Formats: sequence, C-alpha cells, structure tokens
Amino acid sequence: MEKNKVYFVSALITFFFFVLVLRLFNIQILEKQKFISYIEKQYQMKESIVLPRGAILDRNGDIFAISVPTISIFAIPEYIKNKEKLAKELSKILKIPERKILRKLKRKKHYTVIAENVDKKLKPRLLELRKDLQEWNLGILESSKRFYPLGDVAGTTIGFVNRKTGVGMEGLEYKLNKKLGGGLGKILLMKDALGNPFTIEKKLFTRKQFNAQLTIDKNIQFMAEKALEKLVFLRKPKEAAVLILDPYTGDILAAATYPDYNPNKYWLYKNHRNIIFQNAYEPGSLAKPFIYALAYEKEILNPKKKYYCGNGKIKIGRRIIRDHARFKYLTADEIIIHSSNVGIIKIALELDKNEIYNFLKKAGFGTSTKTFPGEASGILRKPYGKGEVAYMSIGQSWIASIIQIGMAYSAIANGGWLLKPRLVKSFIDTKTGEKEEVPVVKVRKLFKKETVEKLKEVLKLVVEEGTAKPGKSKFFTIAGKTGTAQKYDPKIKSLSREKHYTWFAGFFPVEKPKYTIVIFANEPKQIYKWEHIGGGKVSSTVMKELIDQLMFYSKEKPDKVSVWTPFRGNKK
Amino acid sequence: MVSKEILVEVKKDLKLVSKYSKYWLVILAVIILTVFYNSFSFKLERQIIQLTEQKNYLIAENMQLRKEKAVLSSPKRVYSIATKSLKMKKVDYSKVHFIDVN
Repeated sequence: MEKNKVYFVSALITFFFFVLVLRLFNIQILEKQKFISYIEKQYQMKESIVLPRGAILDRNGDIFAISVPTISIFAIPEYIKNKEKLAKELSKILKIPERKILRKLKRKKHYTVIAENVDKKLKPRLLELRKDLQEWNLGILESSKRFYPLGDVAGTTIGFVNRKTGVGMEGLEYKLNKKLGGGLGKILLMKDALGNPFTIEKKLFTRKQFNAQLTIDKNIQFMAEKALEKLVFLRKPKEAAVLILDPYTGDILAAATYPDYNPNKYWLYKNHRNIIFQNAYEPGSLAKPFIYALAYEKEILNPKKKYYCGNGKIKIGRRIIRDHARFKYLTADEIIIHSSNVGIIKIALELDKNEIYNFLKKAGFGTSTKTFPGEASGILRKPYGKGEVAYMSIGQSWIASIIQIGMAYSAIANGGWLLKPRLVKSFIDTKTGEKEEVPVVKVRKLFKKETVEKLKEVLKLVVEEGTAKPGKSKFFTIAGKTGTAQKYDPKIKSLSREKHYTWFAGFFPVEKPKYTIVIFANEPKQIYKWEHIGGGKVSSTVMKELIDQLMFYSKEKPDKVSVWTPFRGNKK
Repeated sequence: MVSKEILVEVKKDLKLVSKYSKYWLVILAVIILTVFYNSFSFKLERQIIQLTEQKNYLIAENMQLRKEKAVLSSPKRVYSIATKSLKMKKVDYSKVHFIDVN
C-alpha cells in the first residue's frame, strides 16, 4: 500500500514536470516569435535617428563633407525630480540658457528633446551628471550631423543632406545616396513598466557604406572661385561659371558657379542649381571651330582661299546676320581667329546640313552626359533650311550645357577623343578600406589627328592675335575660342543687343594640354559705357587671374618665354 | 535521552553523507566553478561594454578632429592668413627661377 502511494505521488510529480516541460517547449520554441513581439510592444520602443553617411573627399583625400557623431538629449519631464537643479547643471555643460532648458522641462509632455546635434564628446559628462543627480529619466540618443568644413567651396556641386531626414537632396549628395548611405535609422529603446524609455537596446541598421573620392581638387576649386568672384564683382552678371577639366581623363577639377550656396545653411538659399550641369545656353561662336573642323575633315577648306565676308553682313532669306566688325576678305583660319559670323556661315553653307547636325551630335551636344542629377541635355534640332544652318553655325538657335562645351573642347586638347566627364574618382568601403575605381570612359573618336593639329594651331592664334587676346598669358601658350551669343528678349521679340551670354573655352599649354577651361557669364555688364561686350573681354579677368596661378600650383614651367636657369643659362 | 537519539540520528546521516562524499565534492566543485565562471564572464562583459564605449568615444573624437583639421586647412582660411596676416602676394612668373635638375 505504502509502495503504491509512493508510485502514485512520483507519477503525479513526473506528470506535472512533463506538462511543465511541454509548456516551456511551447513558449520557448513554438510560440517564441509571438511572445517576443508581445515583449517588444510592452517593453521596447523604436526611435528614429539620423544615420551617419560616408564622407565626400577631394582628389587628394581632403574632406568636403563628413558626418559628425552627435547626441540628442531628451527627458521625461514628469519623472524629473529636481528640474531647477538639472536645468542649471545641463546649462553649464550644453551652454544653453538655463531658463530655456527649464521651460522645456516644465512642459507637460511625455517626452521632450532638450538639445539636438550636441557634440558627442559631452556624453561622459552628461552620463556622470545623470548618475550624480540620480535623474534616470534624462536620456541620451546617438545621432549624426552632416558638416561641410569648406563651407561654400564647391557647394553647388557637393549639394546637401536634409537635416531632418539625413537623405541627400541636391548635387552629389543626392546622386550618391545609395553609395553614401545615411537616411533615417531606427534604434530600439527599452521601456519601463510606465512606458518610459530608459536604455538603448540595439541599433537596427547594417548597410554597406562608401566614402566617395571626387576628382575635384579643393585648391583648384578655390582658385576658380576666387577668379569668378573677381568677374562677378567687375561685370555683375546674372549667372557665371568657371569649369576646369583634365582633358585626358575627363576629370572635373573645379566647377565654380555663381550664384552658389553654403550647404551648411542650405535652407537660407532659394536657388540650389548648379548651372554647369543643370542649365543650357546658346554657345555662340564656340560652335565655329566644329564647323571649321568638319569642313577641314571633308576637305572642302582651301587654306589659301579668301572668303568674302560681305563687309560685315550677310542676307539669308529675309534675315540679315551681322559681324562684330566690317570684315572683307578672310581666310578660313582668319574667320576663326577674328570670329566672323559671315565667314563661318559661308563655310557652313558649303557643307551638307545633316552632316553638320550629325557632327555636333557626335561632339556630345543635345545629349546629357549623366554625370550630375538633373543634368540638362541641351537642344539640338536638325536644320531644314539655309537660315537654320546659318544660325546653327554661329551657335544660335541651339543650346548646350557648360559641361558639354568643356568635354567637346577637351576632345580637341587630348587628340580627338570625346570622354565622359568624371566627377567621382573612386569609392572607398568605410569598413574594409577597399577601393573601387570609377573608370575613365572614352565615348568616341571625334577628330582626326591632322584636324586636331590644325585646330590647335588656329585656336592658339585666337588667343595670341584674335578675339581672346585680352586674356593671353605672358608665360603660357593658350588655345581657345571666345563666344558671344545674343539673348532673346521677349520684350522686343528679337535678339537683344544689350543682353549676351559670353564664353571662353580653351586649353593650355597648347603642346601638351594640362587643363581645359570654360568661362561663362550670363548678362555681364559693361565696365565702360562705350565698351563692346564680348567673350574675350569678359573672360580675360578670369584668364589673367587664374592661368598662371594654376600652372604654378601644378609646378609647370612656362612654355612661352625663355627661362633663366642658373646651370645651363637661358633655355627655351 | 532525546538528544542522544538525535545525536545517533545525525551520526547516521553523516555516515550516509560521507558515503556519497565524492559526489558532494563534485557537485560543490561544479557550483564553485559555475560561480567563478559567471563572475568572470560578467567582468568580461562589463569590460567589453566599457571598451566599446571607449571605442565609440574615440571614433567620435577622431571624427571631430578630422572635421577641425578640414576647417583649419580650408583654402579660404589659408588664403586669408596668407594675404591678410602674412601679406603674401600671388606668384609672378617673371620672378620665378626654375632650376633644371636633370
């Protein structure tokens, strides 16, 4: 009997134990997720924070944009024991007026943010304060803030990140959103029984991030901006830009624009456009070398032939197109050197109209390079009549972006290759440091070798003797072309005589070009009343300011004058 | 009389306990080891947390220093010091002498 009792009790205990094990199996394994979600709902809360992004560096590794770790300080006012004391101590650390903090602590809110984007270095002091005052309802959240240490230098190219969402909104910050990472992330906070957050449980983000190394050189960019500043001061244009490229790689070394903005305070500016990529303008006489090159390649140019330039005007249909001077007889080279509209129109009319269109299309006009977000394609239409051919050859009636002009002139500088512009040189994995190079892309061969040589020769004379003479350097040979396009004035429903787009596009030194440069101004003003506005005069300010300085920065020897050397005497 | 009985009982129990002394020792050893292991892992965990905090702090400080370095080496600042404080002038190529080292 006794034995039976023992067996019964043992069986009962074993049974209950077995039931217990089964129940545990059910809770821990079968319904695990369900219970975890209950716990999460009851004891955890998700909070959004701005995630750090990869840095944007210049070609030498100097910082253009960086995410600085910051902290946000929050409190649950209801449970703060001594509000006055906490406000006083916090004010000392955060350098925020005590009354301002106190006002926040006295709010009848469940959760109040005392300060955002505070330097993370202050975290240990804040944690100590929390411990000393035993104010456990004072919380610290880690976050990050985008900072642009160079301010407005290359501001329109770098763009900016929305300070609330951490997402790139303009410029390269927008284009590289996927690579740089960032945006909003969630962190899991533990809540106490009353629902108050008290500790960070875990961060809910694991994304691969890269630093982007640009092709821009911050020093060249600064030099370009300084030169542009001078142009803006003298000419007060509506818009202006200086673009500097490496003609052999398509690397954009500087992209200075006016107006510009400081990405650290982007919300203070209405205009965030980068006119080098996002706008297109009539190129004016910059189109002439391409007509000349096409005629040269088609072998219809006779170097000895003198074209009659109609004493400075030509009638096409009912329209009269004029020159800036009363030219009579000019050779094809002189037409480019002195930028005669009548002369180039006569050459263009000898060419097939479709060939002109196809050649300009081949030079990259009318097609976006897809280097920058919101980039303009420009407009290039097939010409149907003589009038359209005439206007096309003098760079009116079609529009091109500044970057397209830069790449087309780089093709002359580099021996005939049209390249894709490169703004990002490489991506660097933030964790492993692995480098992912962005390759140089050759789009197509544009000119024959002989054409390039001829163009270089003529364009050099444009600067030495022609329309770009005011900007020539004493020390370096420059090849280039000026352009002045009349703007359409809706008031008079015709091309304006006062409003112009002025251009200079060229490269230097001529023999082995190191830089391609494009200088642009929209509606530059006269310095003197009797002054004739033209690409040469307007651009000369920048050329004089920039070219020698740029070559000195690159440690280049002058290629134009004899140079004194102490060991070998005078040497060319 | 009663205490004598208790004493006998205790002696009996002790005998029984001593019979399984080896097992007791093993259990005790396991308990002691577990306690030591727990305290060790607890210490290690605290150390890891402290080191992680230290690492994060150093990363933050490094970022701040990189930011400060970038601000200090900004061409705008350098240009302003060079031209305003040091009265430096832009290069004049006619005054530059090139030394051919080849």
